[in-house]
Amino acid sequence: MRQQEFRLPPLYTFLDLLLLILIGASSVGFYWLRQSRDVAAGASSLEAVIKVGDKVVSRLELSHDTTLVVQGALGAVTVVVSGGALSFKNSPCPLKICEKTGPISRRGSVLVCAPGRVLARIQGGDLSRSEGLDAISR
Amino acid sequence: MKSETTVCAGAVRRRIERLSLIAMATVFELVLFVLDAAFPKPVPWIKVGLANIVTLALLVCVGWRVALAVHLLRITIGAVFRGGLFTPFFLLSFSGGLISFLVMAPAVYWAMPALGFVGVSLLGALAHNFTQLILVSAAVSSFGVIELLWPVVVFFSLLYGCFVGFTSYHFCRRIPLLASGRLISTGSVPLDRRAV
Amino acid sequence: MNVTDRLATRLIPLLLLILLVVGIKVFGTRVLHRETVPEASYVFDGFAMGTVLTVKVLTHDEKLAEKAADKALAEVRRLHKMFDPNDPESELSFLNKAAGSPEPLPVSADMSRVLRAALRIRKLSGGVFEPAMGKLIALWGFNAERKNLQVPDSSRISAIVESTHWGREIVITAGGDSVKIGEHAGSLDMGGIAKGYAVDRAIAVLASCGVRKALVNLGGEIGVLGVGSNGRSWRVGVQHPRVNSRHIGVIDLTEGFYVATSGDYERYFILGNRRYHHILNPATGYPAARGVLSVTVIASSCMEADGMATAAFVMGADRGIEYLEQSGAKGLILYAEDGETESGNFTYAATGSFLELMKPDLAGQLIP
Repeated sequence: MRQQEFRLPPLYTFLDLLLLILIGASSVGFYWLRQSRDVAAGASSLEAVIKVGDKVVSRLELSHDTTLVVQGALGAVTVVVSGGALSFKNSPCPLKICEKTGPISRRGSVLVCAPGRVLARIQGGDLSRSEGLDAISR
Repeated sequence: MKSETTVCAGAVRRRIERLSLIAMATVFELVLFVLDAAFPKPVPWIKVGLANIVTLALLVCVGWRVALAVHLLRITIGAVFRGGLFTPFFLLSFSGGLISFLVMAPAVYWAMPALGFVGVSLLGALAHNFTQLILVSAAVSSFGVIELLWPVVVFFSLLYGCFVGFTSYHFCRRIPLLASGRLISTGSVPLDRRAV
Repeated sequence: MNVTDRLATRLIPLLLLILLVVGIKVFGTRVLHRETVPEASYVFDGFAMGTVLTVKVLTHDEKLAEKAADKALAEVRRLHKMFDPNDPESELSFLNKAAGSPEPLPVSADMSRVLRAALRIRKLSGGVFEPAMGKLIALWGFNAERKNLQVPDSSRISAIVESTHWGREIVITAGGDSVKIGEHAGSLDMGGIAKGYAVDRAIAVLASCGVRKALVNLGGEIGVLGVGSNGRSWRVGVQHPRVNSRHIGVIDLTEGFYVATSGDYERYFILGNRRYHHILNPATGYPAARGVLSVTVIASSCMEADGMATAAFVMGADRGIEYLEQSGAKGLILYAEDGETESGNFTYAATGSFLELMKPDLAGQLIP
């Protein structure tokens, strides 16, 4: 007869357990790490996207105080992040509307130097917070 | 004269046996598939995968050709039942099923005595669910979904995989036809590849 | 089994299966996409017309939103090229250069529409809104990007005011495709109405791309399609004229309504305790000085809202509200009763229809 003894493979082996524990533990581990990082970032995970013309030139975390000099269409504009708010200084534009508009800190807020083609928009942050206003007529 | 008819009879008999085995196994899987869908689930689209109990059993105790035939038949006919033959859900089901089979079959053949029923089933479940996750994110062009959901997918794949593997093992043990290894001849699989 | 049998039983079913899967793949992903993606809000910014165009789209389809926003931006930039008084190649400059010609000058459909609206507002406002104040505006320097703005010489101002006949000398021919501009009509500058028209066009472009829910904001002129994330309307705040971080109320804007605000707090300079802003009174040649801080108008087209807001600003609170009521628009005027715009005290006057939409809170609320 061509048939040999056939024995059923085992339910589980040491390798199985290893696989299970490895995959299980590592995913729990990664997940937990990601969670704690997000929680720590949490309120201060807002970032500002700085654009000159149509190009994004920089992204700044609002939680870190920084000063960045950006080359606009009219010259250099200083972007200052301080105390969780962003403002423009030393703008070469004539009317300085951007400097007068003052610091922005909320999600969706935009600060613009139109002649200098420099734009800063705040995004990110806690997604569960409601948006509030869609636009301001000014 | 006499030996010739015996040989012919043997080949024909095996084909008939194979056909009826496939048919019965498909029916089994379909019943399990329908039952599966009726279960309340914590995460809506991650199925328990009860039908894979039979697929796995076939892979181990019969052969990959029979197992593949049953598996694909079940997915297609199952989709007809759920009214989804030309829908995206069928595509999802089919891809998930295909990939999980492609993972489980080699595992049975090469990893098997080292790996047990549970191990193979885990791999199959992970493959199936991750394939579905990737396809869904590709369809919405947003791979960020993966980042958010993969722990859930891993957890439930492991959980359900264990259950299916456990059940498949006992299923094989209790059914003498499977446990005897007699059916292996109908699967047309080289004997030296079997788990002995 | 011979070859043909084998072919028939294996190859053909295989081919059919492949066809099936491919067919489902192609058809299925589109449906799957719509069924599983929640609507999300996508925001696009671009510089245009000397300010920022912000397009916010609510959709399942990010690619569609991006394409539509790009088209809208391109349209606004196209209109800017047409209406830019500082660009010698713009249609506006061409018309200015050819003014005084005995033959009517051909105008594009867009220019014709805007000119007609401008002249209509000019008539209804009793000449307070003038589309041809280009020379005056250039004299004050608000349009060119000049630094160190100063009050121009009064003699030069009166020279322009007295010698210009303004809109009386601008006549659009019956067919609407050409215009006759008299020699003393003045220099065309549609700054008080062009942004509004651009918003109308941007909305039209978005709609033609299949976008159903969107908000267009061009430097404070706003138009919308459909509804916003609250499912009922888009929430538009009105800027507090003196405190940048506050707004004085929220308008629930729905499709078909547009908002425009003319204010003295964006383009201005302060010299010797007086504020000189960019909304000039054609009768005097100086910034309108009836104590108005800002005018917000809601109308059925942004072009009209923009023009009417500018006109009402110059008219002052009482006449302004009367004018807005007569024009069938909803309006709000913030003004200082004693004419002292720098004192920080101001009050409001509004059309009844505006008050139904929003009650102004003059102390202002923080912009969220």
